[in-house]
Amino acid sequence: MFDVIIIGAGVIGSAIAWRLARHDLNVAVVERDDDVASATSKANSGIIHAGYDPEPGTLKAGLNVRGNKLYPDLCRELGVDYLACGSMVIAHEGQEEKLEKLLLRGRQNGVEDMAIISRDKLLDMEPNVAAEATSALYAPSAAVVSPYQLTVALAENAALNGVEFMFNTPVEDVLVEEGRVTGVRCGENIFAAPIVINAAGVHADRLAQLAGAERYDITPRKGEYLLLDKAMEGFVRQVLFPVPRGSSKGVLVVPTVEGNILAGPTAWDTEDREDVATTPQGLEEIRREAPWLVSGISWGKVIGSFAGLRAVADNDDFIIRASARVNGWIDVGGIQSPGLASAPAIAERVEHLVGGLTELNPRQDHVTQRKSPRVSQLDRMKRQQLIEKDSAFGRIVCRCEDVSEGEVLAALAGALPVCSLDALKRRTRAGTGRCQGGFCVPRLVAIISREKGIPPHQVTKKGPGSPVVSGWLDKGWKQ
Amino acid sequence: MKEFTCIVCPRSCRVKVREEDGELAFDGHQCKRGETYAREEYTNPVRILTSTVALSHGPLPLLPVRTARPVPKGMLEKCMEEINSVVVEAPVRVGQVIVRDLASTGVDLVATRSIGRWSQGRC
Amino acid sequence: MNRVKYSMVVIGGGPAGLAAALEARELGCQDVLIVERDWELGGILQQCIHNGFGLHLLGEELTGGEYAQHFIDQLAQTDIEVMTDTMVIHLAPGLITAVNPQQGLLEIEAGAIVLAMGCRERTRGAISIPGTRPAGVMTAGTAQRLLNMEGLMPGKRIVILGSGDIGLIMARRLTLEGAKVEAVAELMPWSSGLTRNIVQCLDDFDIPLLLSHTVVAVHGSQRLEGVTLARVDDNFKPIAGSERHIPCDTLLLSVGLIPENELSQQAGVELDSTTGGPLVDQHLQTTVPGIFACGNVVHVHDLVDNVSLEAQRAAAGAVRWLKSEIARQKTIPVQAGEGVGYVVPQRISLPQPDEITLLFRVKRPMVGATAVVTDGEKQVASKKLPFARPAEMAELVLEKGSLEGCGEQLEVSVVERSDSR
Repeated sequence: MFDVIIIGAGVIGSAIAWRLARHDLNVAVVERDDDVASATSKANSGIIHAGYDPEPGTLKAGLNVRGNKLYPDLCRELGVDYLACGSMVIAHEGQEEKLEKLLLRGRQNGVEDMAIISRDKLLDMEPNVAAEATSALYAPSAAVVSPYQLTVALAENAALNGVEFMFNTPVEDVLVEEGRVTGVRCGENIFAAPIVINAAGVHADRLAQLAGAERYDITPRKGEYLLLDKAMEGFVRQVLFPVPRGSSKGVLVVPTVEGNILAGPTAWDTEDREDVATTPQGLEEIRREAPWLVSGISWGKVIGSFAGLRAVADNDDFIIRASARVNGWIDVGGIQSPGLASAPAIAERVEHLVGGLTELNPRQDHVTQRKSPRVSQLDRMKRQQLIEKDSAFGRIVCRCEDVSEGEVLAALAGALPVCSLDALKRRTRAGTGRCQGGFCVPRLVAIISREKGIPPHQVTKKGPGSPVVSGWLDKGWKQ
Repeated sequence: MKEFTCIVCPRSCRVKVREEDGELAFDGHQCKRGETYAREEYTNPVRILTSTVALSHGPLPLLPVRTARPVPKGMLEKCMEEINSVVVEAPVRVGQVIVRDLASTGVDLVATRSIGRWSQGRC
Repeated sequence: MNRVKYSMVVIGGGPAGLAAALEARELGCQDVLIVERDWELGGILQQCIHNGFGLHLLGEELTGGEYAQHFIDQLAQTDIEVMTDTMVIHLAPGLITAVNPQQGLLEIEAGAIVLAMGCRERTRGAISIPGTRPAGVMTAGTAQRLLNMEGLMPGKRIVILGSGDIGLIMARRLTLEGAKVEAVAELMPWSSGLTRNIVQCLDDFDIPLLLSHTVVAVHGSQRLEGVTLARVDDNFKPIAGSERHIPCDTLLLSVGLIPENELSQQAGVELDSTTGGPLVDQHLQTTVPGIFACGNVVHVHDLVDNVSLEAQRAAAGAVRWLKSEIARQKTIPVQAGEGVGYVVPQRISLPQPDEITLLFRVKRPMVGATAVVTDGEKQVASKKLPFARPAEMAELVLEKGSLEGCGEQLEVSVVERSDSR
């Protein structure tokens, strides 16, 4: 019996868990995939928007601006990389008026320190900006994080404070008795709780329907991205947006916390809630659109491409509410952009809703900090000390990202029970670099196999059904 | 009729081989070496076989091996069967005979690297 | 932090590093160190268990391991020092920062540095194959390591994209070990592999080679379930309607190699945008004095024998540089002219006291061609190339003194002569 069950371990589910973990509650998170941040939260732009984009008065507007303010401290506490880079909305000839509109909207939303800057200033700040750019809306409070590093950190901190994470546990039914939610069914297992929070991303509307809560519809909107090598670091310094055209924010060019450059996303509505395949058309669109913002982008430096689905609700705003129909059911749906930026504020709001359903008492032994060793970020003295304490920190397993075996072992022994290659990638960055795992995969398979005591062909890329290799060779050792 | 791509020089001639009254007839080659190559490929094609055998007490689970001389192409499968049933114990020296007279081909299987003994494993 | 000092430090213990270190010692360099990131020497050769190495240099046809062993055994007879399990994490002129489990961080002062880090494989990301991201998509070299060194089968039904030699060799290896290779697809209208490998790795096992084909989609959410292949037109664009689905659990990529030069760039070494390797002169000296480079870190070779020879030239250059014997009164560029993809060295330091080996690749297959080195209007050297293919590196030697009174730049071009057949 739990006090609260959270469905979904994306950034929203994990942020809620992190927030609820400061109370004396018995909280569980059920996640269908083998790790946190396995869907939308791993495949987005990673932007902490300033908050000038949402319509004033919407949930999006308020939570975005509040979330943006919470981020610097949050990242410091949890050891999450935070790139305070600011953002620019770029205008070409004749579009300057749109910048004025955004500026006004931003001020209404409470965004601070924005300014419209001239071409000269823009060139000074972004030397690679397109020749056609005439001016830009500069918002210094925008920032960038690694969305999966953040999600892992939130979830690990929650787990350290007693939240139980259950992976490979898809919710098949929501149990409701006499207008009250009583728990969820996952395969054979029933997990009981008087409060269930629906943070199931693109599947949230279906779960709301299963629960019998107020109806809403989610349309998955696919966004494809191209990731460029760190050799491009500094190519753009701020997050660059084009002036808004239509429903999405357009194709952006974004610096990542790791020093890569990200270009995308596209915005294609899709029926299929599992469709995260990249397409020739999508990748072509990015190559065609990005030069609207910058000139001289080197597509030969692409090291990867990926696609994610944003959960677009039919009211075009976040849906965050305790159900009036089903007592104890809380919906957190339609969390598309600026969902990442809003995540900590959404978590606060949900905490408040939970407080309306049950009494909240502070947890006595709550820890706010979370540490994870990253040898490449340590100064030499500290790195040397760490290696002297444990030589595994001196054995580099990922050459592109400078990741040691010690970091891999720490991730495997971390607060969350994970062991797939993708889970390690999210925690250590091993395999995210320019060789995309070519060097480290055989090494990681051996380490996981050894540490977890499983044969190599049970080591997976992303949970059940995704073995990295098919088995041992048919050699004489069978005797 | 059979057709072969000659690999003796970069010209890569396509040589056709026909059997006429018990004699072999060649067509498509541009030099004598092409005919010799096609004759061998037609009558008795041979290959060096390289593979691995299970290794115990080594830093790796496998030892790479090769046939000391080419073996008939038709025997590759038989050779692999025998290779896949062998276990060798480290240490091994390069050139060391691992299997004598592999699959009755008259050819030995030899180690193609030296490898030390290692009880603790590698990483 | 530990600090050590050597006259010469070679980064990388593969074929290039081994040959460079041995040659430097042979030429009298007293203290030579090899820094190797793997647990043993030999580099990529240790996973190349197939034969075909060394015919040119050692006069016999060896496997990769045997070729490496030849040099490793020689090295064991010398006092050359080796640090294995040691990763170089930073490079500056004269100063290498490395890390290993035993000593932790190390600062290695080096009189001369020889870069021999080799290359890495192009990935799926680099060529942007659309589709899902399941397990079972890997580079041919990663599969080769799993199969030949770790004893693991990458998969059971395989499609290989790219008909370079690694792809072809892997088709045979996987078949011999019990997998079914469904097809090898090649974007170009010709294979970039050796004919011998097409015959002995594909034809021998009835594996189809699909020229002018590429993978246009990857399917499967967890493990790979299949790929869609399509024929491409002359501009390498997929032709609509030519798609076909091939069920498979593994896609191997053999789509090119990239010299591994992140460290070189840290040290300020200038790269050639065509080769992806450092700009070097005939001594294999990079644009940073005292830093030399050889092997696949400079440009991707097709024969390891040429790697070893290039490494010896680099070592000789480095030893002479340490003795201040390299004069560099003037440097002239060597350009790739008509029909030529690239030339190494990209520049020649004058005066030229010795013969100079120029290595280059043609842009497309040619029959009865002639390579010509020109200095403005003047022809400096020429060589007949009866069968030139992009996959096979061509070589041309400039004789001692042939550049006396030479102008501002040399150009290497290859022309097909209709009369030369």
